[in-house]
Amino acid sequence: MKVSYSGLKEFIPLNISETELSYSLTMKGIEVEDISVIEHEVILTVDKPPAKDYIFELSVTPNRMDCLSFMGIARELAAIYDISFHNKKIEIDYKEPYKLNLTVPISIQNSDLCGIYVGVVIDKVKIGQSPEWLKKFLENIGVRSINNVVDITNYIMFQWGQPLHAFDFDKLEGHEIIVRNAREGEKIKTLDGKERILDSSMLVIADKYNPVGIAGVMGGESSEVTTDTKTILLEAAWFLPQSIRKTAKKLKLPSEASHRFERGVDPEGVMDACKRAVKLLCDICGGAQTSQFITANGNLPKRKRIIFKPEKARKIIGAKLKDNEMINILRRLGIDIISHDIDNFILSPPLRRFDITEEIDFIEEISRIVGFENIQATYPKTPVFIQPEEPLYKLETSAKDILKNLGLFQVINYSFTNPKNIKNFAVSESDKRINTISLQNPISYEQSEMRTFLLPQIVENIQHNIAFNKRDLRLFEVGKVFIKDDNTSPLPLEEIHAAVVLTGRKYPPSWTYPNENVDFYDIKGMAEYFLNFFSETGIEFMEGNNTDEPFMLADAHLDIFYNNIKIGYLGEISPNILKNYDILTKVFAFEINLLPFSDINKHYKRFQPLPRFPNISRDTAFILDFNLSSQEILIYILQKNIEFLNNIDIFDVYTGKNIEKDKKSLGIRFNYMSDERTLTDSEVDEIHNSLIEEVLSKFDAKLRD
Amino acid sequence: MLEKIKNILSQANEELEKVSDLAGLDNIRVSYLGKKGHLTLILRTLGSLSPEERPVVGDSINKAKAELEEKISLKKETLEKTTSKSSTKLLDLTLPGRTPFKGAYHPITQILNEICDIFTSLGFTVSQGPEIELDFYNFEALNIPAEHPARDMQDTFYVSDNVVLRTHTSPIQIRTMQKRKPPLKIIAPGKVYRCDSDITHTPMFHQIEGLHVDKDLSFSHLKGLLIQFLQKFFSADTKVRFRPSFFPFTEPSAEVDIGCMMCGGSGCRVCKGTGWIEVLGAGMVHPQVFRNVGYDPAEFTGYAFGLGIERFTMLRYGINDIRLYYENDIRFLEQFK
Repeated sequence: MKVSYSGLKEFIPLNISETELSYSLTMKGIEVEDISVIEHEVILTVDKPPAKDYIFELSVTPNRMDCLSFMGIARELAAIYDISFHNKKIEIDYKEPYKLNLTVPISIQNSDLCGIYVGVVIDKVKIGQSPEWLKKFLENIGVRSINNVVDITNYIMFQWGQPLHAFDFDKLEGHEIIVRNAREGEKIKTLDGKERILDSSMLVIADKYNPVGIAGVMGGESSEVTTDTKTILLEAAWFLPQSIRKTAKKLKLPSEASHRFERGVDPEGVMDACKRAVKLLCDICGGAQTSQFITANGNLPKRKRIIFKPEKARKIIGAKLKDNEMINILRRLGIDIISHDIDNFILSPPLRRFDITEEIDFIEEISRIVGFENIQATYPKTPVFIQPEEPLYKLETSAKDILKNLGLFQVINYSFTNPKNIKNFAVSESDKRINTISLQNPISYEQSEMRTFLLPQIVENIQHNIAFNKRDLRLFEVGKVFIKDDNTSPLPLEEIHAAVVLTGRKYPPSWTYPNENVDFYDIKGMAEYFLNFFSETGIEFMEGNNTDEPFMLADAHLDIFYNNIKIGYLGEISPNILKNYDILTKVFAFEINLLPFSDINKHYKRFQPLPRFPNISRDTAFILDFNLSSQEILIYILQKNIEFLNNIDIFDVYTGKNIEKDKKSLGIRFNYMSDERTLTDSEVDEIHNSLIEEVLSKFDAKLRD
Repeated sequence: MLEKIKNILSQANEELEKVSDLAGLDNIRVSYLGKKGHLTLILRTLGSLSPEERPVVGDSINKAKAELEEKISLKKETLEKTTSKSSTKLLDLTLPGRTPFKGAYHPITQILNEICDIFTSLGFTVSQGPEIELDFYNFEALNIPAEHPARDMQDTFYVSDNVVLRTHTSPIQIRTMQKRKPPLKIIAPGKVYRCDSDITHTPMFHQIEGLHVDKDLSFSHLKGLLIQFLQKFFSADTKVRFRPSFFPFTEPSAEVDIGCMMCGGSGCRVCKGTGWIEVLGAGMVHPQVFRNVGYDPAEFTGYAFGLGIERFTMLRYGINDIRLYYENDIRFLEQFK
């Protein structure tokens, strides 16, 4: 909203600079966003033409409707500076030739939605251009001049805060005004030329038969004031804010008028504003005659009485303010003191202050006018207490920490994604990930669905970077995905996922590292390392079923289980999927739902005594059928529970020269140890050799030379 | 006997002359002075000598040992010097070492962690809540009823009529207060969503909100806390000012500005010529919010504050385009290693 320095001076004596005024308003809660200087010789106000004026662009918070006018800002300044506020009284001269003997039936059918409706008929109006001062006034605050009648109603709205509307009286059928709810499906063409379909919750101004305006929102085209208009009916009213807001929102029709009505105009200022408008209409629009004011009354808000305890104010603000100092501030703001005893004051705020409904509102006013800069900063005396931890937050931060330390870069993608991604990733109809949550009002189609898994967007990140010739990428994301819950909860299930993608080089570019690309075992190792932080037991990898993860390459991915529940997948992304993103290189990925780890109790490790006797190891390489999985042999050996066999691990896998085509060589290290004594070579040999024999015969294997 | 000692010593000297590396020197030390070294072995034969001979021979062995020890240590010093200046280098020490990959948090995460750390050091603990939220928690309970104009302050993404993407992390405050009784000292970091996308707004961004509820907390305490925080995050001489503002869930409400660090307060593009940059919203918890969660506003008071991580990140790193945050361009991310 804009106000001019000269306009404010109509109400208060101002002798401070524009910068000081701007600073004061900002520091009292009405932020001045911009000041512009206007230098002109044109007369700005009727009486005193200033050579130089300042226009302040204000940001008024939605609780301060009373400040949406020049008068409101002036009143605020009067309270801040404790100076006098003056609003010229207006008297209408009903003597001939101005007197119009005419009355109009005005009725309010819904008195809850319309508190007061004042109508007045003005005849012999000459529609034309506004005088220069009025045009300039409007121009300075960014409003276009239309004609003298419309300009006057706008002038009153901006100067005094009361929206008005002028009807072409001759176009009102039956010369009657009815304030009523619209009929379901009733239509009206508004001033902007669009036809609106109304419902019964909306309040309209109607003539005998049809709506001629949507109350507080916009007038109708049928009764618009035009150059041919001779007689007008001027409306000044108070409508219930909630009702206007609902209507303006439903019709998507915000206007300067509805902006004010939905915040609440001053119920005590309706008549005064109407009088000012009539006076100007008579003065400016050429020899007009006016009727008496015809008033219809509904339920107008009444003044409230609210208890105020100065002690409470001191406690909340945290400053030693004196009672009379506080009461004086409230008085300056137009709040009446009804009565008081030692601890309590009974106060009554003016009706224009819709924001003052309870004690805390007085406290706010006091702190604001005292000035936040005058409240000392201190520190609370807090008792020492331990609060519960948030397990989900810990889960998320430790996941990020591990992955960052693995040399990966964290990405953050929007939680909403392109519906195309689900199609691109060939997610099957039965997959819960296809069942996305859609936004009712997305920014765009590309950002219209909540993501159900992280992989598609992180693949989009690869696509973006490859376009800039960045091909060695190691990225991770930790964030929420949103799964539709079949249960009764209205909210979806929010899982915390961690996803990693690797593509390009295996090692940093260097003179010393081999020039190799990442492969399956890099992503698998990373997943193993990562998962080990969350649980050392219960994690299993199973060969992936391709209908589950159709976007992963068959034979190159594993499903990840935790305590027999699937929590994710790892492996190589299918090139067919990557083609959709113009990615021609191999990309390895894992994605894991971390939520199952959130209820892992704090697990403190117990110390294990160190082995007292040395370990003796034997390395044996077997030549085996190529398709035999290493896991099968390891499990076979372990399940035999061989005495002294402490652990086994694979130290070599080899195919190629000297190995038959459909075979592979698997080197296993066997570690033997006793808790009681040092084992001798010969006893280890005996155990080991018989074990080897069993393995050979079980798997039809040979020893490698 | 004495002759033998002399011979051993001269042989040792000869070997010392020849030796050219530290390993060889150590071999010499071991073979003469070690447990089974020549001189040590001779010392053990003292017992077989006559009582007259013993002190003479013993003394001579000890002298020989001392002499040899000194010579070895001298030799060691010279060897250490010469090996480092050897003319044929074994290594090109200037070649870069074998470093592993270095990763990085997204800058948003770095700043979020930093801010969380400051508040946890002040006794706040982290609370979390859903990102898709009921209208009740996002608005109603926070004193923003359906037909309140304050709803216009936040452009809301709707999932259904009463389910929204949270527009702030304040619903976490409500959920936490419903679960726990005061005293309460929490911060709620996380993603929030507003239906707004232009050069200065992304439809998703990150917030941290704080809430402290106890007996006798005041606006003065809020000022103390936030000034301390801002001066820790920015710099000890950062100027801070509080301006009255409006939020439905706090009263009195404040917006908090810091003196512009780009221009030092004289006015520039970053502060739009005002010398001040708005960084925080804050206030005393509105009594209605307390009533909504079953706290007695006569007994408890509290303050709350909220800030946008994107803004703090921009100010810290001088990032000038908010859209860079969510493009995830590696050339951007790599700058924050």
